[in-house]
Amino acid sequence: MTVAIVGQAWRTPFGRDLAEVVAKIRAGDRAGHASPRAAGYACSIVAPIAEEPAKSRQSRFLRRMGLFGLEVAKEAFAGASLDAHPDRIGLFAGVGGLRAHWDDMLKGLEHQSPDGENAWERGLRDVHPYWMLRHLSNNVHALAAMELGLRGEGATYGGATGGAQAIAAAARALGDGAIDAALVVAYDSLLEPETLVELGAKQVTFVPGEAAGALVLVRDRPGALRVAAADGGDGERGEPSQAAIDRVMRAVNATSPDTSITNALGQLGAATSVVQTIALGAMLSPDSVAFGVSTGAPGLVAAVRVERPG
Amino acid sequence: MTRDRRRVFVHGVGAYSPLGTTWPATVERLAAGESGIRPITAFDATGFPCTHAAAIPRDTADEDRRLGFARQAAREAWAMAALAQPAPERFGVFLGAESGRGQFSTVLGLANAARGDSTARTFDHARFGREARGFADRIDASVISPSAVASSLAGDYRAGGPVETISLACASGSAAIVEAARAIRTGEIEVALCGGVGSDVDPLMLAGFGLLGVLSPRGVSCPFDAQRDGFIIGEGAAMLVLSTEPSPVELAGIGRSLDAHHLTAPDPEGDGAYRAMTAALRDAGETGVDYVQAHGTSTPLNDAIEVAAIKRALGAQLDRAHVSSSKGALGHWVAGAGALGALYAYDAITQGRVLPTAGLRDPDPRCNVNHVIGTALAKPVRVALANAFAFGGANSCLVLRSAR
Repeated sequence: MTVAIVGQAWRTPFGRDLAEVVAKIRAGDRAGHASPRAAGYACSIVAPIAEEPAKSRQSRFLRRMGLFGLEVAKEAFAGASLDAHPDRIGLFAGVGGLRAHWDDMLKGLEHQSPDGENAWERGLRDVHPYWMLRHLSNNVHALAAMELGLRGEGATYGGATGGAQAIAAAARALGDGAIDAALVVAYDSLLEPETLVELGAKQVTFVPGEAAGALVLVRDRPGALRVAAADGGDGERGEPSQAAIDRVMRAVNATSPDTSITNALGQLGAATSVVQTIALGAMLSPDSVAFGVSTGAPGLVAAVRVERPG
Repeated sequence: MTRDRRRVFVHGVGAYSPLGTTWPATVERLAAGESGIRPITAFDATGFPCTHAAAIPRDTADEDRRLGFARQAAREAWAMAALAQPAPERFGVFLGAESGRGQFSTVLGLANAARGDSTARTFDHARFGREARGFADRIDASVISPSAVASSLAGDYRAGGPVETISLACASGSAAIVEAARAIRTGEIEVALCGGVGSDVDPLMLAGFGLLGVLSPRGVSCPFDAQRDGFIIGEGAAMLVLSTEPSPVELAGIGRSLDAHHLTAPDPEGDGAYRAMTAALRDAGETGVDYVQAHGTSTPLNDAIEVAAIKRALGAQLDRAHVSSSKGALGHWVAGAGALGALYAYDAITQGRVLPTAGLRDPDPRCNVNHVIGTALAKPVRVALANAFAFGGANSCLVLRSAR
């Protein structure tokens, strides 16, 4: 089912200004470059977000990408002017996966034995007490709900298709009558150290990127852009099979997907579907439809259908 | 509210637990009042804030144990369901799971790769880029992605519909069942394999929870007991097969809510828990239940707040309900906990018994509901409620009902 988009915000490797980002995509620009953040890695051409998140009291619990996620959630929500009761507003988040937060852990692992003997006394007792909270997959979900007072329902969805899952789940909850509005937020970075090592070993041909995006969705609003999302997986270790991709494209009645967005911005993991939705919406002419498809490991595929009414 | 919508039924269940490799094997020991909580032997837990867990014996060759647990439980649930193979696009997988973690030796190897010298505490990216390459297979997305298990199950069972991974801490498994039910209700799919898996008995998670002060220093899980002092980590997988085809047990109601209160502490008024329970009851068209499978973590805060919320939600029908918690016997499966709760509710309806809260001896006066202490209580159960509440204030509740 499609639902209406009434608010949006993003942080991308091309910046946060919608017109500027879309102009660069249309011009065929590429965000990938040899960044100091990837120096020393086999996978050295990357597409990072250039800016840093604003200072926040939630820096105790969130690292860089989580702070971007919280920022775009608040921006999109503020721009949506919803009149729904807080108990009827849901929150759906997409995240790529947990990160190690090495800065917190190195001290605790310094004197460890490989067999874990006496691991507590050897340093785990010195790991930062907030390590677990920074490690919590739903920490942005929880903090966004707190800061915005959202008391409806929702969840956090994990993996490379997390953003598409979050859009699809929000649409289901709207369709089932459980909520009247939904805030969807997705963020991911493929520039984490372990990810760069993994991608380098696989000799991937794409550019790892990072992004955060948020959408505010309602069942219907005259004249508003509309979006539907679908996802799937087939258990492949790397990219999904063509059959899996075809099935997910059929689920959103997709014809030919737009690939210019990920070519321009890099692979954005769990944030991809939300970023595609915002970009495609800005590029669509009235009474037209566009599709974005993304794939990721292990065997995952996601698709969005974006419609601009006449 | 009465709505003309597709109904959802439970066709199969499966579990892989510290008390058994199947749900029947597990549940017979649960009914007898056994506990799977033991001193940790899989690694040296000396000095940790808690030294006990409900653990499954480990195969040291496994880098990530989630998939083995979930596959075993899924195989059992799918065999029990005995459904015809659905068309791929009408069959979805919805799993509560967190990211995988490599073995401690892998984490340590990565940390050593990141250090410029043996005493450095800053991350040396250039060195890591060189030295960590040998670990690439062990940190591959197919091993550690939160989606790795759901994607593998989709491949195993030729499920070509949605493949979704809900990473919602302690409510993940329940929230995944909600998502599966909704996908069936809205006509997106006909059949869902759903549930949750937790595999958190490892040094890092024991340290992480320990540092937060939420584990039992005594190593005892005793939900609702006056002496409760924290939870015990457990692990395992619980899976269900859902379909629109009628069966003896209906997943009649689903409800979720957000506390919007605090990152770790539940709303002291229990309002979010209350709203999730009442949403699920309203969704099912019920005002009371015969059994509540409580979240019941054995932490001082959660249990008293949850009982207050149960009392408020059930009101005049409170006396009809017995309350118990899986965590007394099997510990807290975190991402798998909510799905395990659904199996307790399923057992109550199909077997006419309420499984006990292991460890409960002396109920806290603030938790004064109808407890089941010792061994299982024989009791016809028509309607059961299963609660799951997460760090971060996300709540998810399920109402299962006899369809006989």
